[in-house]
Amino acid sequence: MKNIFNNPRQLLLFLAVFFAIGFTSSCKKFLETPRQGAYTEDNYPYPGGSGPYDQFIFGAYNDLRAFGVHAIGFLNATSARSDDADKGSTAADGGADYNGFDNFPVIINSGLANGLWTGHFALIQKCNNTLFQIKNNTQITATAEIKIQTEAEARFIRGYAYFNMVRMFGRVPLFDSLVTDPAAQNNRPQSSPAQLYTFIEGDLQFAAANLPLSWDPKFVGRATKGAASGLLAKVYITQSKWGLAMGAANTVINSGQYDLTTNYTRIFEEAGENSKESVFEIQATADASVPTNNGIQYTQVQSVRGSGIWNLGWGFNTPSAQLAAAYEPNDPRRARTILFTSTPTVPGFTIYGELTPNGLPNPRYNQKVYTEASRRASVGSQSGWWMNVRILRYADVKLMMAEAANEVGGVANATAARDALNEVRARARIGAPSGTLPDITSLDQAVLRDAIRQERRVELGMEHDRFFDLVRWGISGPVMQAAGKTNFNPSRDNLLPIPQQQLDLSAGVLTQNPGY
Amino acid sequence: MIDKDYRVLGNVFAEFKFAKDFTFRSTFYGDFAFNTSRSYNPLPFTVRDIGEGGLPDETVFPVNATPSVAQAQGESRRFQQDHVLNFDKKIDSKNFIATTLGFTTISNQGSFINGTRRDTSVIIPNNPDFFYINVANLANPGAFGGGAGANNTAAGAFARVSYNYMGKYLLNATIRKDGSSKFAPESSWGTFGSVGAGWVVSDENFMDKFKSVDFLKIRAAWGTTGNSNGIPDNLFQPGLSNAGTAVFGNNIFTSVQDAYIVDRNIRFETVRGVDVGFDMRLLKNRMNLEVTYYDRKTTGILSATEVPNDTRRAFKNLGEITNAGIEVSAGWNDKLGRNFTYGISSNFSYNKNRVNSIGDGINFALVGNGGANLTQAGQSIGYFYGFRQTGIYQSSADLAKQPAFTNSLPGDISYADVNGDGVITPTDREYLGTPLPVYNFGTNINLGYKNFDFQVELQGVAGNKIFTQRRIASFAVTNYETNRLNAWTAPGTSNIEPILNNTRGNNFLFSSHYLEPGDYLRIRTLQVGYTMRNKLTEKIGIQNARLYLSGQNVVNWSQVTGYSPEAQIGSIIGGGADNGAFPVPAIYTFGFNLTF
Repeated sequence: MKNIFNNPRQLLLFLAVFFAIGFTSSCKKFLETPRQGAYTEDNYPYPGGSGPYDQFIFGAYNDLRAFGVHAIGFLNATSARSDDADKGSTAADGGADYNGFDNFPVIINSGLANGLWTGHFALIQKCNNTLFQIKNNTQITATAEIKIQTEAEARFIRGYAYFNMVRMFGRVPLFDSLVTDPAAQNNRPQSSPAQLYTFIEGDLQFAAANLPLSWDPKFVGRATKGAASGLLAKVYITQSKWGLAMGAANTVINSGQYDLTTNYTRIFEEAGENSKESVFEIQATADASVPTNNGIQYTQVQSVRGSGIWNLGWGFNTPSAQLAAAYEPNDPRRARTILFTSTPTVPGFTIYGELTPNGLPNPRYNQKVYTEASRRASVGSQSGWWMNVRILRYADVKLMMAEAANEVGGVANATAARDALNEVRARARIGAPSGTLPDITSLDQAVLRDAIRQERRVELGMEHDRFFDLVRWGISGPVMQAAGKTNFNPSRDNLLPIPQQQLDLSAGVLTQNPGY
Repeated sequence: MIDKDYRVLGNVFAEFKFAKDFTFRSTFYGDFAFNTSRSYNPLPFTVRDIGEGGLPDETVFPVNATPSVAQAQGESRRFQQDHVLNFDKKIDSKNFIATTLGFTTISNQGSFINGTRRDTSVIIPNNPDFFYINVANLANPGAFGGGAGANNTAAGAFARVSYNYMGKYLLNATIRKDGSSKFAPESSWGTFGSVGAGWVVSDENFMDKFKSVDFLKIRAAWGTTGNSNGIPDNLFQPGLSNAGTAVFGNNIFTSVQDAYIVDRNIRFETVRGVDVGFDMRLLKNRMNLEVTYYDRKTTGILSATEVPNDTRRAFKNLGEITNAGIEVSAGWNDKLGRNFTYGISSNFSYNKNRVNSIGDGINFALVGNGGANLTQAGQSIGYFYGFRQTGIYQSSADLAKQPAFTNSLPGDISYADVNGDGVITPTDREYLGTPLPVYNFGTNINLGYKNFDFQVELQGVAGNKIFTQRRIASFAVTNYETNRLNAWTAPGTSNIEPILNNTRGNNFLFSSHYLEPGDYLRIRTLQVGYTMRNKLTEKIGIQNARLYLSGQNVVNWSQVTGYSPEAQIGSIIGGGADNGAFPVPAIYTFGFNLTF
């Protein structure tokens, strides 16, 4: 051995060759570098227990809070487009994109419309992924009940997403399951509204049949049978399927889960979240450590655009003068819905009695998103990311039942309709001078129809229904003209444009809506 | 902000010659870096309100805010080993052969961690002594923002043989296998290679009569190379994002979702092509000339793409593009008299880029940057696609005479009616230019007179367009660039700048209005020097003393209105937008060198 390495250089050489050979022989391993600090689908430590598919469906719940799904695009599409709200903020803020939602037409390359499109498809993809996991993931063991319940949950959210899409865009591509290769399979033509409604009904019927009536308190706000039935009622009245709508609404009413005991003012407070009034609301929370990530920007985009303590948000989607004038005398809901900026002659107050300053950029703001000062202090944020979004309330279900029953007709149904309407009015007048919001006495179909429509407007003011109501009633054209939105052309503006970005991406597979 | 970086670099090698013609060399490299920083965030938000309801320049601090401190640490490690065996053999006086076998591995690892904490009860002073997270106690809100790592490796082996006959006829061939951990095990290796031939024509007897030609070599090569740069690690695996949460009441639950659209089959991007050209020296080596023509096909371009009806991006190997062009460089060096030397050299290249196919299984349009860029077969990759401005509608009468959108108004940009149907619609968009420079050029001039020397280096590009995307942003309602001072206000006031009204959506469509020529010429270096070398300096032990004054990036000639004329090509299919690119700094140096 002694003369093998006659100098240190040779020793080093030997070692180098040795290591090189060593590396070469293990090269296959050398090139397999595990992902650092992030999971893949194959090594995620799935928690066991009650809901083994929770982590997938929770992705859909996460997306319900996405900016593209329930923030300014949603508010502009559902509210600012109607006669009840204006664009808000300063005149130039938001530019042509935001102005189009108020003054029409919405521009074809609207970033907000594009955000709604991609945001909803992201949400739908999360639902389809959950359905895919239920069907195909062999690593997860779950009971048949859990599988069906999770499927119902995913189909509820998917149905909700498609319901928004069909009302906003008319025709959109239909994804009924997860595609394995989105790059190859995602570019598909639009389905017709009829096809989409059939699909939505299928999803919501399945959800209504298989979701629980309620959840363990730690899951408050998860999709329920009531939420699915109530949404199904809205899908039916949108298509004037009055008998089905009445049935679906009555399922909610007869479930025993909801009532009208919650004071109208309380419903929209932080303390009023998930009350007996709540049929479906998007859950949000915030604390000092995580002021935004678990919340939603829905509140900030439409909150008071002042300075200092009144710098609460961007001030978009402000209640219109027409909405302010729509209430019957002394209706307490007017002050609950609209936050008035003080003027030198008329002071404005919040629901907590704070005096609003003079000279805010807008005369009115949406008071239903006005946050409690103590909560702002504890979170250390002015922006209200913790406010839940009330998507479906019990009063809405009652009024849908009333509307559907009245349209089906007959004395019994008309009476049920009138009674439901009066129940909503009775709650609304609590605390008001006597004689306010008197009971409706007529059973005449046309009188009740007008009364129910009026009631929906004021009861659900600034709650994302007005524009879709006008469209489904077929009166969007004249109502918008009367409200001074004279550019509105129902044959074009009842629907948003298919975003030009999506038309371009589709290379001709998607087609534009009429008039754009 | 206290920021400290430490770095240790090193390499050791061993070289061993044996059996006369063999040389073996092993080299090991290590690169270790460590970074630590501490910082202070005075107030979470400061709003300077410039006249939207509040008083101009009023500074608004949000209520409920206190300062926070942050700490971050990161480390990275890189190891590389190269082992090369050379065999150089002169077989006889005419035949010479050289072979090389090599093997290399590279391994990169790193990690970082950071966090912040905000004291809600006291105002932490702005003093570096307090910039540690524990200055606020644990009960305070904090974010432990990050903790992540990276790990990737690459390996390669190659063999090269070159042969020449009398130094006149040259042949070489290389074959290499490259592996990258960025790809799935079944795709992690790629085989690449090249062959080349050269002929030194000037060594032939028949060239003797061309006295002015000192050297002429004709060469040709064909080869392939692989590229794995520009994509993150482990993309072939179905990555999850668990950033999302479901919230029920005030309870927070983690969700998981796909981070991107996975394609397990991603592989090396391959460039295959030919180069032919010649090198020449003339007139007693005073003039040189090199000309190369190339034609290269890049297949499987690695890029993130937008996919229809999905917010996730797909990382894929896209289709095939061709880059063909010519590169020319020429120089002249000479002396005038005893004291004056001069030299000039210039280079010029022309590149034509053409997409042959966008890729198999891609049935949608490859759009970039929100639709401003389009990649289509037959066109340059990621070209600008939009409306072409013809002017401004000056009046209602003017508007009535021209094709327009249904909602166009006087003061709006008028666009070309490309399809001639009398109205402007999205179908009137067309090719507006390419973000990739077509021409690159440069010139270097050296002058010397006695002890003085002077150098100027010019560099530039031409043929590309830059998208002034920073001007399209519609949310900035009070800040405009000076071009808007010339905005249309009444008939005849401008035929270029539209009315100052950000509710006119047609003026914010992507069009040639937002493109400007990307051509530029820049003085990259300008240097004057004086060298002293005489008895006086030698006496005091200085061999050589040189004084110089140098400027870098001294002057730019361009029509670009941004801070930097250099096109920003982040994504090959969506590049060329200037959103406020950081300027290239001009650097002036005064130097004094002493050689002892």
